[in-house]
Amino acid sequence: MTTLTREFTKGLWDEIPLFRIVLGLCPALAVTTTMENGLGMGVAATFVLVCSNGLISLLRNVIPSEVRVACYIVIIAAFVVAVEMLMKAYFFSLSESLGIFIPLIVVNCIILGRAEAFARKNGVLASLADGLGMGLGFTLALTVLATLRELLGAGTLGLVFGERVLLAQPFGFFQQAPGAFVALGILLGLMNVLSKSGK
Amino acid sequence: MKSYLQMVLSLSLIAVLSGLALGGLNELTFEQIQINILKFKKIPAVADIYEILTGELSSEERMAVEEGLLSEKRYVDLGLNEPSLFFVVRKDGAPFAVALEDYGQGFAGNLGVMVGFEIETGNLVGIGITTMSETPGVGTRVKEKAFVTQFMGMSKDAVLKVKKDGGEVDALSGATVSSRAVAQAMDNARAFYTEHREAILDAVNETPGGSS
Repeated sequence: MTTLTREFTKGLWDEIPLFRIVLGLCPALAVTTTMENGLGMGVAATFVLVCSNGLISLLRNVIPSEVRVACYIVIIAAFVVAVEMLMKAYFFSLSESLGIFIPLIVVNCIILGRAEAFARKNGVLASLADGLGMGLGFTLALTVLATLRELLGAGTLGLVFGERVLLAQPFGFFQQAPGAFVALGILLGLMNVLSKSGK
Repeated sequence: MKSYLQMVLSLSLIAVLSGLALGGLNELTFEQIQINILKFKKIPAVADIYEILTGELSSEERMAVEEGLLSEKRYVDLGLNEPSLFFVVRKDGAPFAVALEDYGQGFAGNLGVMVGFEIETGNLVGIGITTMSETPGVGTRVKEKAFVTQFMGMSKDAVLKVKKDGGEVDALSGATVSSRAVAQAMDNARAFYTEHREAILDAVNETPGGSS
């Protein structure tokens, strides 16, 4: 495996942000009430992550290390505002249901974490691959979590089927905040079982 | 010394460039965002008021109504910062009411309310909520029928305050601040309408959609 594919694929399983490092919990717990929200949030975060990783890696020799975090935040914030504007212009209803959590991508630890841990020490291509992998991993995790919560909590899968798909009475609990923790716990456990049995 | 200069310069440069890029993007998306706000926020609120006059509509009928309302928007220049936007609500083809939006201070930011006034009497037809960022499940209940229906046909002289403050508005229990914001927004809209009634009514019959 070349290093580039390695940088890309590590975000999808070995270091998948939400389940392995347990970073980015705030959006993961707050917006994953429907599959559509989870996917939208993931895509928005991936866009910011790829762009900021690329740009920070490009500027890694220009930015003095004393003010690097301030520079990273400005760059990340600019991309987040750009995403917010684009979403409002072209995906209005999604931006309404994600609400405050779009601007809050600025403080998503995954993005600043990848900038600090990876992009500032590696080349542009590797950083782009890392950002894309981590972003897709985050999206995957959010979508799985959101699908589980929507299916169990509301009994629907709005993005795929228009109508209720769960025949039993849905547990409204999974739509609320405590349900988010329980659903995340179940997935984390599942993840650990899977990776143990693989060894 | 040189490193200080480099620190200041690089951070400033990044900030300025980001600002410029965002300014450009804002120019590009501004118009589309305004259209979206009109289509998905203001028009549905006017349609809520329209629905009070016609009774409940099926979702197809409602879509047709919202489509039709696009040509019922009017701008009236009152010498304020920008021309004021309002909508004409028709009953049997004739202008029956005007709807305009105003804001109240909610629990989290401004709460926008579209208020319909009967042209002839000045009484309230009803309201529709346009924008809010209230607490989901608590403050957002002001959007529900149980709360909104109390404003149907309210007299133009009604005291628009929640009962706790000596007014006539039934607040939702647990959401006094949001209820108060709705009352305040309605009161603002009414004051605006009373003050500019003539100019607004003059504009009712103008060609539809006169741009800003």
